[in-house]
Amino acid sequence: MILYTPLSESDIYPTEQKDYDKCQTVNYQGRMVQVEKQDDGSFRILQLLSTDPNDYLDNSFTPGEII
Amino acid sequence: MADKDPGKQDQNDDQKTQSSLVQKIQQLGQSSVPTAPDSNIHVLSIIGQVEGHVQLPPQNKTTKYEHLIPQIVAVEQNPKIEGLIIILNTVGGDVEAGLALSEMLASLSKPTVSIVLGGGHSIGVPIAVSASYSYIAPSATMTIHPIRLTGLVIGVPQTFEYLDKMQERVIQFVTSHSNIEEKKFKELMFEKGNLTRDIGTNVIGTDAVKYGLIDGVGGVKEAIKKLNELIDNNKQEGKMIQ
Repeated sequence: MILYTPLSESDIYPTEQKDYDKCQTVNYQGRMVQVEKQDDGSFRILQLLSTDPNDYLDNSFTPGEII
Repeated sequence: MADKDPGKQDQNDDQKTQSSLVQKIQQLGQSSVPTAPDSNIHVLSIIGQVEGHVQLPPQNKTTKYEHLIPQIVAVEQNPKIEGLIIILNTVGGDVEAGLALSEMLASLSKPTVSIVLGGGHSIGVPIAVSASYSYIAPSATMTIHPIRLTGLVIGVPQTFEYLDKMQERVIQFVTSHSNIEEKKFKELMFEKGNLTRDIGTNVIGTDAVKYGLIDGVGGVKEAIKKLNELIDNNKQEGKMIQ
């Protein structure tokens, strides 16, 4: 399908609210982490938000970890 | 009997660590990394789009300025942190969020070093130059182009004035925090024929240094070395004041 319109793609196909809701920023063990809700209700770490380089060496904050 | 028990315990522990290691490898395809003592250098990574007043759909990789600003404040406030390294690989984003980050970084009393890896485009340029010293990887690029507006645009001359003023803020910040001349920066910004279908210039690593936009070509090694040097200078100055 080819669209020929001055509207942006996001105006034509708006992102669903549930896609926004899936991603959350939470405090986990005193550090901010960005998580994605899994279908089974658990959360998977997407990204660690910290400036301490040592936090990135901590296994419990590795992206992909289920919390 | 009593002698055997600790051995058994050890074995159990071994098995436990082994299984967690296997789990880690299965999950991430990598084993655990070693832990290190507290670091006096903190790191701030600015990746993907710089997200400001509007939340972008989740498929975008974004750096939210409301996350970074408290971190910058914490870095300034914590006496254990002596320096900050800023890793940039960004496609740009919200002008005001980017300028806010740049101003926060520029006003830190602690030494900062930035490294542009991959790309530090558009609003990534002021963020890169806001550090005390900036590095760019030889393969990294920075796109300098006029700012643009999305969303509802009212077709009045004032809209242009507003945009022009916004652009002036970016130009002012970059020229006052780097060695590039305003004339040269504007020339790169409004150049035609470099970018297909757009106005501007894609400045590659060594050229960015040649124009005075970035201080040096380098990577992590150079950045850490420079930061340690700046930290030492900072400490000595502190002693002299006392």
